[in-house]
Amino acid sequence: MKSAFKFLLLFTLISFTLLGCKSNKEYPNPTNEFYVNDFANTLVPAVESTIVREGERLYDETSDDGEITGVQIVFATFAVENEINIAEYNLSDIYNQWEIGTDDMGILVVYFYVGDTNKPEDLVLSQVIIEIGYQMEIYLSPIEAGNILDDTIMTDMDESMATAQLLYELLTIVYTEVFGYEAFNYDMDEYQYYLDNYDEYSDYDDFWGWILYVVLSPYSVWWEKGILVILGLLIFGVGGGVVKNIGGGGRSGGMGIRRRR
Amino acid sequence: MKKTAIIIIGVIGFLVIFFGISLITGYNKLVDKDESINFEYSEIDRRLQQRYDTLTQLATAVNGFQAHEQAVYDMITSARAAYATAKANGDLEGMIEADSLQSIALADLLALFEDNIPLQTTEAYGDYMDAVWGIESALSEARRQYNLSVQDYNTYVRRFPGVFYASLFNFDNEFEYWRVGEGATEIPDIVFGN
Repeated sequence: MKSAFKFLLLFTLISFTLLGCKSNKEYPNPTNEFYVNDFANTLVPAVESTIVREGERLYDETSDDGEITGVQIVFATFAVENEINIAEYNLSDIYNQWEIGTDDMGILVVYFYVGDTNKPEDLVLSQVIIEIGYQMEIYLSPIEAGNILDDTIMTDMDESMATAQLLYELLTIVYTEVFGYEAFNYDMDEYQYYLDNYDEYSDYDDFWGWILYVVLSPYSVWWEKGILVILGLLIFGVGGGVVKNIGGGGRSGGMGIRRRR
Repeated sequence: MKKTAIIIIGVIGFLVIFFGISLITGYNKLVDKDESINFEYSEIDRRLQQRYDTLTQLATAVNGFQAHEQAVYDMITSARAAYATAKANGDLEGMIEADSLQSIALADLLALFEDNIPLQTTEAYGDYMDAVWGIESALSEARRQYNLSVQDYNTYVRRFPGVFYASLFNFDNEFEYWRVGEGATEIPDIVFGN
């Protein structure tokens, strides 16, 4: 009798736990980098690195009164076989699933590529959509977002350069309108140099290269191994497995703008 | 005898606790779903106000074609008035109809713009079209979210035990979906660039 009751109780608890875990997610989860989700595999590492770096910097920015923080600008690329398949994506659902921006202060930029989804090099950019979080609507109107797209990704500029400029233009709006900066300066000539010489810059690739060197090379010294062990403990011990960026819990109400190429 | 009494009291106690918890969670669920509909409804209302403001700006921008402009402007204002009256009377059907009327006015306004080449070349035209696309996209999403909330509520109150809780706590049996006329839900297809 007692064991039957225990079994029933356990069964009920497990059932409720499993039901609670039921997920309605229909889009892929964001990547660990969060700010760049290159599912179409079309962005170059230099641009990805810039988006992540600027994204992390922006997330830490806080307004003078301390009320606004955790702003996020997220980029995503999707590859579809035909343009008609783009309609299967609801940007608000993606935005809300990824929970971009604290207190709805986020921007999602999505590139849709059309072509053979197994050949990233043959994909052609078809549509670019900017989805704006509820609170961000106050600072970024569809008109401004449309003008930014017209001046960047809709021009004949190289796609990597245009994406970087699109990011910088959005950052300009956020830093000046939201955080009250007088200006946000960036230099596209300098960026072109960075893009052309990306391998020479110390970046994530170098970091992984350094890890390989410490682990495999007989010439790596004891203190390098020590740093690696400490980093490993921090990442896998305290960080719960992987250090990753996450969404700020924001939602979007469908406000945004689209451009077709 | 004593053992049987303990078992009976235990079973009754268990049933009382079980039904008590079920009633509380059932009631809370109904409140959550009802509030979700109210929230999504207020979102549609907010977006419709935004659209009205945008359309008024647009209509003002087409100065120069008096006859057409006046007709479209009248449509927009009468749709707005119809919406306000329906809202004051709590007439959801009337509000949905007014929403459709505004969509028709918007389509007419866009057609008017498309026929006017000089206007299309101005920067203001592109800006207005962006504003229209943005607000129609947001409105479409607000309607979808409202309908999802209604679907969630209606499904719950039509199934057991929701049907029991709804009648016990006097909640609405069903909510009406926000169904605008055919084509009115679609975001106007405005093509920019090359």
